[in-house]
Amino acid sequence: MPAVEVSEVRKSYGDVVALDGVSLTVEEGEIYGLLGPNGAGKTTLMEIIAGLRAPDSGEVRVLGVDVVEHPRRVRELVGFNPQETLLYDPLTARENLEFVAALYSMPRDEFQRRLEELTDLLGMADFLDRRTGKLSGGQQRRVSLAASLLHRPPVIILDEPTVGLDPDARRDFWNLIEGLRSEGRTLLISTHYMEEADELCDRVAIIDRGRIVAVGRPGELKARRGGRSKVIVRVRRRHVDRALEILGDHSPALTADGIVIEAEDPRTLVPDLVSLLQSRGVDPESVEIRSPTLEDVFLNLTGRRLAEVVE
Amino acid sequence: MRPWAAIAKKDALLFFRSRSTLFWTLAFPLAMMLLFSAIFGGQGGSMYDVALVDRDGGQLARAFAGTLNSTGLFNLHRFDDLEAAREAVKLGREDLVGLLVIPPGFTENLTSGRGARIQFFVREGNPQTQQAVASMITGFVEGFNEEYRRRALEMMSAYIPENLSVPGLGGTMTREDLIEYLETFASPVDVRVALISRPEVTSETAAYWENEGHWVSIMFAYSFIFSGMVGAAALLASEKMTKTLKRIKMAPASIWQLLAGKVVGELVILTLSQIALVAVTVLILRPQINWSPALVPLVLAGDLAGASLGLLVAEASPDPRAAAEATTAVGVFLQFFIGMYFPVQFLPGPLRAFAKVLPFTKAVQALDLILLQGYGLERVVAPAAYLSISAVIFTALAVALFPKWAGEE
Repeated sequence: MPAVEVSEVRKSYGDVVALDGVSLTVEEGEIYGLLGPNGAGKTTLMEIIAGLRAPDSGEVRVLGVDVVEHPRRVRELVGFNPQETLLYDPLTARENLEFVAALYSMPRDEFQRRLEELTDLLGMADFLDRRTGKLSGGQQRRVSLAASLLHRPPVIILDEPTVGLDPDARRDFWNLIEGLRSEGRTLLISTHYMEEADELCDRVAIIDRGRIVAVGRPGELKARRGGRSKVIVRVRRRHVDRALEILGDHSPALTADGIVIEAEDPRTLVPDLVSLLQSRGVDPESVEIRSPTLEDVFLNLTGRRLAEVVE
Repeated sequence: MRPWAAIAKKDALLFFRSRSTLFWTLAFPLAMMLLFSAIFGGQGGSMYDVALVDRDGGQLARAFAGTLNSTGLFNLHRFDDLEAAREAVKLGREDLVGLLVIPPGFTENLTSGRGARIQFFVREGNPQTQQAVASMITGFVEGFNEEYRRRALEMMSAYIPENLSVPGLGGTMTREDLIEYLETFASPVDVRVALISRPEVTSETAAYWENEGHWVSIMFAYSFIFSGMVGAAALLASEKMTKTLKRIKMAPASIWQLLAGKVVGELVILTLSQIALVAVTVLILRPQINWSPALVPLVLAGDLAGASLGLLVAEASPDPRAAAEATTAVGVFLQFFIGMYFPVQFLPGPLRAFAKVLPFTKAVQALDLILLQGYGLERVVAPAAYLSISAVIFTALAVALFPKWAGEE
């Protein structure tokens, strides 16, 4: 049974179409990424899956349970971690978590056991009894994530979980996600960080303007939709014109990064380019092979750069 | 813990951890109580202003008044005309709390050994003040009698033979025995205390300004508005402002558990606030009030009216921040319209009409009648029913609007 099944879901807010016939399937134990810019419909889709919003049409099931018919049952199955931390600042981290546990009618002794597990898992021991309003952004995110994991949900939905985190904290978070995967949980993660989707996700759905434009493993998507690899050659400024002339047969393009040449097989092309330049008196400073990224996939699919849309 | 109980506990914690909330719901009303009771309580200093009409004018009358004035307890204002003095006391001119009348023949009666009766009229008002002034006058007269006795016996003792030896009740009576025996009889000045009513100023007004018991009513009413209405609106609105409503909605708890938690939490907050406010008021002012079981349903109705009105405003408002701010503004405004600080009758016509339809006005009326007059619930049926029906209507509307509010997130 799939962990999440979304079929032809549509959702509008007035005249604004947030989701326009979205369908996807997330298998149990999978880390599934939703990659897209802000406003693409990722949060709306996640909130519908978590039973927080009703779709205008379409069908959503979590572990076989219809979210429209049984939203409360679905909420027991899902641990949703929204973008905002949603904590009560005057309460301590422990009090916040105790409150959330009570919302799930969790017995006190079970809460204590789970709290100890999550404190170890998320490294919260140092600030468990401090008011959350006094905690750093990273610490608040850990408490918020603990709140979403308290009731041991089989399906975990994380909406932009690493926004605002520094690179080290982000790397720690990725390790945590790997830990949850090893427990057999299903994770649905939205992000607009390409490297995050690339690093973490078994499969990625690229979503833009309320529609899913591509689904697949990151490697497959890059191979299928990312275009050709690029070889980037950098020479001294005074040799640039000469180098462009020498490499003319390879359709070079001058960019801020250097002279860019697209290649089907960059590994065999690089030695040939270096030899050609050196034989004509131009010594390259560096030669770099750049493989297609999910950014390239997004660019090729939408005609826009993800980074530009996010900004 | 059940979800509704967790929500109630969480709300109570949030309420009592907010310094600004604590200031406005506890410290502010207590400060107002201290300020107003100091201004209007009639006990601003230890010296009482008393009118004096000396209708005797003799040596002993002057000595009596002079001694009274020198005690430091009273500041005597002499009047020649009794009616003028009585009128001045009635109207409370120059802070007069009483009228002392020394009758004609005072000196002559005393010197001829017949005794004299003075009259003291205490102004109707604060019962504690009345009692204190009357006690001081009575105490002074006792002291005056003792001194007068001592001096009279000193004079008389010159005429008692040194070797007196006559049969008495307990055997042979000597000169010393006779003097001691006479001391127990002598009470030359008698005082009669009476009340001067104040027809110009209603007893209701007096109760507002001078009866500290009214402050207990005020503390309840203040809590209905600020801990209840403003507190409920703020706690509900803040769930949207901080988006924590989403956290609650993520859980399988129903919206009715959420509403139940909000209502129970509010009632806990109200009860704790009221205990604190009333306890401090009673400790400081020590008012003479009647504690009655009738207070319980009345206060509960006030609590429910305040809390549900706050919920209603928060639910009906499209903007949660505006809802919280609006209830605060309305709360500040309402203080002056429900008879907390002055009688509703003091308001101009249209405002008085507006004030009289407010359920909290009825609450203050009913609380005053129970606390100050000792009425039972059966004698405050009209205001209590008005308050209770308002509470039921507000609650029903708040319940009806709650699903829409909870689903708007």
